[in-house]
Amino acid sequence: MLFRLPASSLKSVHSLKDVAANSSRLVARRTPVRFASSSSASSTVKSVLDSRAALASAAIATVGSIAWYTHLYGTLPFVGQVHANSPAEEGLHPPQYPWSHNGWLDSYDHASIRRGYQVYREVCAACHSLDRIAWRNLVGVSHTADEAKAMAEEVEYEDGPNDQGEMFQRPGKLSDYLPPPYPNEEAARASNQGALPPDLSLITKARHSGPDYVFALLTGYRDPPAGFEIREGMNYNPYFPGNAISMARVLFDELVEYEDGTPATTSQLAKDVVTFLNWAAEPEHDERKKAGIKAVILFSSLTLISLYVKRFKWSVIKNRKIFYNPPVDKTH
Amino acid sequence: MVSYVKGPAYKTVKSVAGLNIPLLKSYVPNLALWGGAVAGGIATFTEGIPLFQNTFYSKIPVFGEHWVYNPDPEDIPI
Amino acid sequence: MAGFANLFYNTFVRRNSVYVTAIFGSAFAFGVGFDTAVTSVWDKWNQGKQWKDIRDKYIQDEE
Repeated sequence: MLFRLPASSLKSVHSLKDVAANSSRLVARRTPVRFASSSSASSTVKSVLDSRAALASAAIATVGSIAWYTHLYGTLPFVGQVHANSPAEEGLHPPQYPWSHNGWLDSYDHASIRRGYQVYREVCAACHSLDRIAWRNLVGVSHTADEAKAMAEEVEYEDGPNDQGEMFQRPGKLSDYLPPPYPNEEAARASNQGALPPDLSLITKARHSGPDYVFALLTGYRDPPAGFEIREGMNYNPYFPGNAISMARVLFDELVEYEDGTPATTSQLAKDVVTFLNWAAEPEHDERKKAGIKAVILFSSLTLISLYVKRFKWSVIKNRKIFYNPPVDKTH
Repeated sequence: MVSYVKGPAYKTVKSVAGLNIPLLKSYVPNLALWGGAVAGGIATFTEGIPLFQNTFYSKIPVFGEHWVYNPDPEDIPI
Repeated sequence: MAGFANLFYNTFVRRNSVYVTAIFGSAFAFGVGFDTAVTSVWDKWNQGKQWKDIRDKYIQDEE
């Protein structure tokens, strides 16, 4: 709000001190704002410093640097904070990775989604379910209809009841969802020393930093630092809150053989599977961005048109001058 | 003997509720243009409807391709 | 410029029926043209990334 005041109004604040010292000048000082610009012309530097532009740019610089600092370090500058958690307990912040779908105009890299599905199926699916993705969702995204059908038929699904009222097993169809590794949560916990492998359908939406976190977690396993006690069966990962994670490192070089010949390094596997999981969480992503481009173009041009029309219509009113011609007293 | 015309000879055109044939004729070009406007309005608001797309818009000569939806069977989950 | 404005006014705005027709006609044409333009820019920007760019590899593999 400050920079909306005329700059010279600050000068009147200064002058209040003088007013206290010499109250007889009060009347003269009442209206310094009005004549400030004409009286301060003696010093060019002063008038530049007092200008509205100087106030506005100082305000913008202040707000901008505070916002930048807050964005960079996560807290306001010079405001102390007390945390019950150490940074290690919250987990290391992952770096920002250059995902192929990061930009405003970037679609998913669908070849990467296809490789990522392979990694999920061969590695992650041993413990993690993907409940919200059906075989049909893969068609036209990463696989052809025939491929998806073939993959679905390899899995047996329970269906029924039939004429005798009994459930029966049948090969999967496109409309079936990807099979979970465990029938229920208890079975999952029992097989994993009490830890529940989370469903991965929405995992990139469900974690801070999304795909960056998942990638950093998958590639971030290392030996614990000296003095860090870790329980039997747990693993050290700096990106995981608490740093002790039940999941062991699973991605290693050459773990999967890609059909398109991409070298299957650990980071390539992680990148592909995270792209796949990001697609699973946001399958509408490509269409959404395309609609967003259209909306931005249309609404910004409509805004410009409406601003122009407003100026056009108001130009008559803004440019008029109103004269007051007092009636001539004809008695004299 | 000169026969003088005593006054203007009025004739009345047949009309129904103030409408008569020459008047209606004079409306024709404008009404035809309004017909075009209505057709344009209908086209604008039915552009997204598949029945209209398949019946009319896909048959427009040059850019009718825009409405043709003919995916490869491998790309649709059926 | 004034010539263009006059031509525009006399051609499209003078009769309301022509004006409304021009509005709907240009809306229809713009809808198609804008969609086509955005799609072509999108496809050019994302060349090689979308499914339609890579699908040929997998269709041919099967046959």
